[in-house]
Amino acid sequence: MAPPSPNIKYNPIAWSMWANVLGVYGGFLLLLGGILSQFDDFKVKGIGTFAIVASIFIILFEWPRSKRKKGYTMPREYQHLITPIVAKLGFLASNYFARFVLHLMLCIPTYFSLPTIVGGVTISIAAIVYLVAAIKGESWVPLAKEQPRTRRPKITAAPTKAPPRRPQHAERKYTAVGGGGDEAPLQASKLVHATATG
Amino acid sequence: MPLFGYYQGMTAKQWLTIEGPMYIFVAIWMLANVLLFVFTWKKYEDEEYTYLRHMTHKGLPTARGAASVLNLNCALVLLPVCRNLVNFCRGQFESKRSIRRLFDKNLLFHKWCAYIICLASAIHISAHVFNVHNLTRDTATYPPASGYTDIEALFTTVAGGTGIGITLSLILMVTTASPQIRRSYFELFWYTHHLFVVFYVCLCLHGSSGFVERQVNFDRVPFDEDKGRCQPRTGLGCATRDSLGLNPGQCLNTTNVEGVDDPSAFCCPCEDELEELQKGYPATWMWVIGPLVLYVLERIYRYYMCQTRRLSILKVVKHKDSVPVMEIQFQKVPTKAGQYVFLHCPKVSQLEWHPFTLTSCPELDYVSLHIRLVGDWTTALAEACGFYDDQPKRASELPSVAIDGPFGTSSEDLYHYPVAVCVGAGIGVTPFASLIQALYFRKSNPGKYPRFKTQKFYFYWICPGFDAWGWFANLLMDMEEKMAELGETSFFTVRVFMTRGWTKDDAAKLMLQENEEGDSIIRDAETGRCLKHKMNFGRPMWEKEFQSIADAHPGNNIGVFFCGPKVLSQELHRRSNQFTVQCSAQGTKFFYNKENF
Repeated sequence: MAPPSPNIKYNPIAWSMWANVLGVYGGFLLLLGGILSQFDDFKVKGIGTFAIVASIFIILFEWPRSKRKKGYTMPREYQHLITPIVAKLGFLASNYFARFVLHLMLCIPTYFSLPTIVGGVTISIAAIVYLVAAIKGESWVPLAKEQPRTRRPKITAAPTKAPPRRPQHAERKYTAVGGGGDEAPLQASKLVHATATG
Repeated sequence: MPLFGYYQGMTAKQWLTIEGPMYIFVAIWMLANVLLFVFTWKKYEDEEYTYLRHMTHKGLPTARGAASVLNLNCALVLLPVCRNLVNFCRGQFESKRSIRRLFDKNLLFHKWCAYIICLASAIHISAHVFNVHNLTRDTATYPPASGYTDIEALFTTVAGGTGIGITLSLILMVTTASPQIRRSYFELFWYTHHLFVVFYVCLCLHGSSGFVERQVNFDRVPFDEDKGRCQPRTGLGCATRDSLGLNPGQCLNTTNVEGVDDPSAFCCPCEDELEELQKGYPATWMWVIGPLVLYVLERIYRYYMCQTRRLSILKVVKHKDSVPVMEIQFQKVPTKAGQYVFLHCPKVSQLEWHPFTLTSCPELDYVSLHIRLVGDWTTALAEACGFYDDQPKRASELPSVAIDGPFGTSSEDLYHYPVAVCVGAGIGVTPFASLIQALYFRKSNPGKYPRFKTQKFYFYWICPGFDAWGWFANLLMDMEEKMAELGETSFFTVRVFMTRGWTKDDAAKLMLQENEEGDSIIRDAETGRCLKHKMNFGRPMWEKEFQSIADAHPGNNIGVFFCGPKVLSQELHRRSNQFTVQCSAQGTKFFYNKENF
């Protein structure tokens, strides 16, 4: 048995996934900040209004998770409704450099009003993590909606021979399994399924 | 989390025994949170804080109420993750099943505390956003804030700066702990979670500047929300409020006083006394110091054990399934069946600790773990152990390991139930390896284990395909043989379910097996042994399975133990409670227990 190559990581961190979580959480914090700034006469109410618009955009934009390179992607609730719209944005959606620049631009105004700072900082961190993801060569891939599994009945040709019958390919494949082999160095146990020879 | 999702028409008594303890505990904790919020709110509605409240309105009580809830939960959140402490406490309640079952929920409680921390932080920050804004605006009443804008105040004050530290570390910890990331990239979650150091340092310093000032002499120099600060007057004499029979804050009736012409004016009985304010003091450290010390001790203990208890690996065994599995056997430490350890190999990584279930029972003279080689760390460990070499390494060449633990899990309680139903799905079979082995030792030597109650043991093995878990199948075969030797063949029932369907080749194997006196198709190629119990295909129909178990053991306490995916866990939990209700006439009770990872 050959050892795996040390250079290939089994499970390299997909930074974009974390950036995506930060983006969504930051979006909600920014929305909260935007709403708070409507209550009191904060000097720059315009920033609050901007924050509300920007945060709704960010939440919708970040809502659909990207398809993972390897392994199962757990979709967010209702993400299949938004994925096609985000996918239409093309370069802006798929390229993480673009996301980095976009998020950074959206969060700069939020630094000038107290209630929106927390959300803005979170979005900035998301932007920085997106930059890392972009440098690592990650990109956003739309996740197709999972089709409900349909159980197709397996149709096989009607048997031509009366039972009992053996599968035709059984003898061919399962005659020479078991015994001896390469597990000499250490105690090894090997489990195989039934063989025709027993 | 559906609070009463598993209720299903249980009687109050059944609910109290089976589900109750946990929800009662949670209810007490929630009540403590609510009461703390309300009482703190009331405290800051007091006269003492009128002066501050004049500027901040409801912002002050809201922020303080949330702060108290934060204090409590920041203290509690540490306790469930003190693994050695939880394990110790668990051990103290050997015979109290309902309390022991509470300790199995430690990680769940950690998460719930974290949710409350997030919620309370949002309230606290929102309230303080208004407070900072109001204080910096009203510089006439609050001189310390003069010359600042609200954003400057955020970055230049101790409270603001530490607040930023707390909030940022909380956001980073919470985002990396979201299930998708925690499950996919555990290292990212694990390392980021160590920002708790920043979190707690900032938390303890947060109140140190004492912004929340209370007025000491409010009874002599009242402050009124409407009329503002007490204006010293001349020529009124200096009577105390009490001597005039007035309540604090109530305006002195000036019509009776000579020389005062404006009766609506807010007046002060004492002409030359000014309001006297006392700085607040930081209180958070008093809340968190206890749990923090316990947690630090826990970490020191872990480090100490890692440094002193280096265990040498005795033997490495190769198992070839569809995924290579390495069994390592190392020096004996005291363990119990069903426990797990955190494994650390300094030669592979200085920082990483990985949880593994023990697969050896306490009666053996070594401790073993079965490690599926599926990740970076596990393959590196396998390489260090010579798993891929043609020649086995000598024992002296094998690396040493350190373990943290062993820690108890719910399945330790298996032997306290007369009937035990264990369900292992996929990778979730590993905890049952040691339990099944230990069963044999208990069954063969009943005098030695007076507390051993189990009379019937069901094991459901739900596996996706033929090829996985050969080593486990071998273990089951061993058990069957040993039980047959003891003449206890009816004690142990194995139900194997293969869920992923079968290919044409598999069908051929099935066909061949049917010819051989109905043995299971699971067999060992070298010895030719096979599992006596038949294999089933598809998923188990739990309703029927539970029905047959309930019918076979009326009036018993039946422990259901599960380790595996969440969806199945929920179904088994529901079925357990459903059949407890259905069989209440016979008094049969199903206790559902789940292994947590």
